[in-house]
Amino acid sequence: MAITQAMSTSFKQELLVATHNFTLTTGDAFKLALFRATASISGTFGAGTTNYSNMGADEASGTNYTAGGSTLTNVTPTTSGTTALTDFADLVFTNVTITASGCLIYNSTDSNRSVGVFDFGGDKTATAGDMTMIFPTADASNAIIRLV
Amino acid sequence: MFSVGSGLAMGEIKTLATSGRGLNADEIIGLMMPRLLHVADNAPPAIREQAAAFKADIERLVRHYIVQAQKSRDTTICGVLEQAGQYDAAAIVRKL
Repeated sequence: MAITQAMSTSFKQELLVATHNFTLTTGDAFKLALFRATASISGTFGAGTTNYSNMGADEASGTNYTAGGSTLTNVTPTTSGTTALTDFADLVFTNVTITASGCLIYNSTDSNRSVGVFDFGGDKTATAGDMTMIFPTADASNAIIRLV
Repeated sequence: MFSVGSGLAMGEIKTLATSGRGLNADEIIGLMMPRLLHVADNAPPAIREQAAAFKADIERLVRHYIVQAQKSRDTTICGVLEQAGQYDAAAIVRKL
């Protein structure tokens, strides 16, 4: 099985009923959880992923990594031209020994509903080191979530 | 009749993994600078050049203080280890 980079279809619907709030401080808390190595993934993840609970045993595990992942720091949504966008601060898993092939961003304030599945394009390994999630430039062409 | 291209899009998450160490000053600066100062590709050449020069100055300044912060942290760790009688471990940290 595999992970396919995609925004969760459920997330698209939930945006239209105001389920998610990406505002800094007063918004919802979003978390980033890691998928284990590609060869070990047993489920299928992508647009059909609706919740963190879907990850199950396919979540990565390793030294100093806590199941559920880590909380992201929201960046209050803004606009650039005719595009609305939001962003997160880069996230560092510190002093970990772990291999990950992708990640899931989900809303931990609202029943762990999925935002999207992200593929790293291969396995990434940190051994007694730091694994950093680098979010793209927050502009109309690259931001992590954009309403174009 | 015409249509307008619109929709929900998502960006790429890149990763930076290290083994046996944390992030060094250059790696931290590499993460920080794109967020601190972004020069638009379509900015006028004179503005781009000015912004690039300003960015280089900021980068030098920030690198200096990040390196200093790392050294100060090492000093603190050495102090804690020595107070605990761990002189060999303190010596290792001091050599970092």
